[in-house]
Amino acid sequence: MLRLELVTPSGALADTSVDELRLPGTLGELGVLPGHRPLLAALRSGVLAWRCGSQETTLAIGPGFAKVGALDSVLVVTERALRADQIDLDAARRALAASQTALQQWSAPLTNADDTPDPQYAALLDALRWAEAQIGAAASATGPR
Amino acid sequence: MPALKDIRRRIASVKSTQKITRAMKLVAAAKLRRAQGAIVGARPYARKVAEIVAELALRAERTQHPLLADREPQRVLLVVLSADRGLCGAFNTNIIRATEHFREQLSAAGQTAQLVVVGRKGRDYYRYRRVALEDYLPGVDTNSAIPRAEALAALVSDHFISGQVDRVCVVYTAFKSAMSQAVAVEQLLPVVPAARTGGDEAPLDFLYEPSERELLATMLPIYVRVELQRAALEAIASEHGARMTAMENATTNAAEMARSLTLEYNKARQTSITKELLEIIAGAEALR
Repeated sequence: MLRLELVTPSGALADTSVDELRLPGTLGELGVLPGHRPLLAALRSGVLAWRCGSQETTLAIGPGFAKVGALDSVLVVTERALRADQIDLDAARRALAASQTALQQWSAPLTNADDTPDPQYAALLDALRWAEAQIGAAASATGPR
Repeated sequence: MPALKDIRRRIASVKSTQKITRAMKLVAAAKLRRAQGAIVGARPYARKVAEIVAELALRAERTQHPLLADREPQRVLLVVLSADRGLCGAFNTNIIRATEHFREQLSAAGQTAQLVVVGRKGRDYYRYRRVALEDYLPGVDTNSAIPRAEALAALVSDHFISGQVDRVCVVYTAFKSAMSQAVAVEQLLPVVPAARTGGDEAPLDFLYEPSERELLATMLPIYVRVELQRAALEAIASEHGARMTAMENATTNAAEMARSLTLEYNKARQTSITKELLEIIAGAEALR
């Protein structure tokens, strides 16, 4: 069993034992099973899912970090997280469409003069990923139809 | 013997002051409830972010990121979180006293302190004493804590990375309860690495994804922001707690004062009635 702690700025969202965990890493999805090597990973907006027995739980989470420590303890910190039943699917779809249109129409350079990403562009990408994460989490919670 | 009218006027004034302090107490209590919710929610997040950063900093080379640079502290930047308003007991006094104490320690060690003051009361203190401030930001409330912390984070990171200061400390009031708050001075930068527990436990060999350098680059700015945000929320909750307690005491004191003044008034009234009676009787006697 893994001990999972999920913490956001508005409080701890979960502190439970799970059998298996899937995290949205910046480099791709990460699966964590008991006995995993110690790991520090950056997370991007995406779907966080865990399984406890036969019960699956999915959440949409924002950018954050995960630490897999000794004794199978997993710590996930993220700026925001929503349980599947808290997601407003219509609002997420609208946000997705809006950010997609805005990104398609983006014409300014992607980076500033000093090679840092343009903050507005980054914010748009962030909004897009967050909307995708919410839709993804809501979809996997209801299961394939 | 004070004139009756004077006492009456004082009673009225004490009672109207009491009305004000009671209203302020109720306002502070309402604001405290919100601020307390915010800090209680923010604490675990800040603690976990700090935990991960301390873990990273323990293993990382100090050269891996500019916010880790461990230089000989010559110039120290103090972020002082005071309030905009007074009437909150010793809240501002305590913050300023702790800052001054820390400044003395620094100058005794041959280091110079620069001040970034948040809140009007702190600024007024240093303005009166003609101490130049590095920067001043208006006081925070629960709504402005996040943007203010972001501005502060950008400010201190800039100063630290550009080498203008070698160390950044935050002076704030840690919230325990409405009745008790304690001033805390904490080092923000360079990041303090996690203490090796005992030394018998082999440090965990962490896998990093993406690289250690990239993790530090994303994590450290978030850490600075989250820590400042937490300190700001602690300060806000403390301010309202201190004000609520102070106004509670003021209301009780005003009630006590009104009571003793009323007593004095009644005595004075009694005395003057007795005196008048005596005068009338004496006059009547004289006419006989």
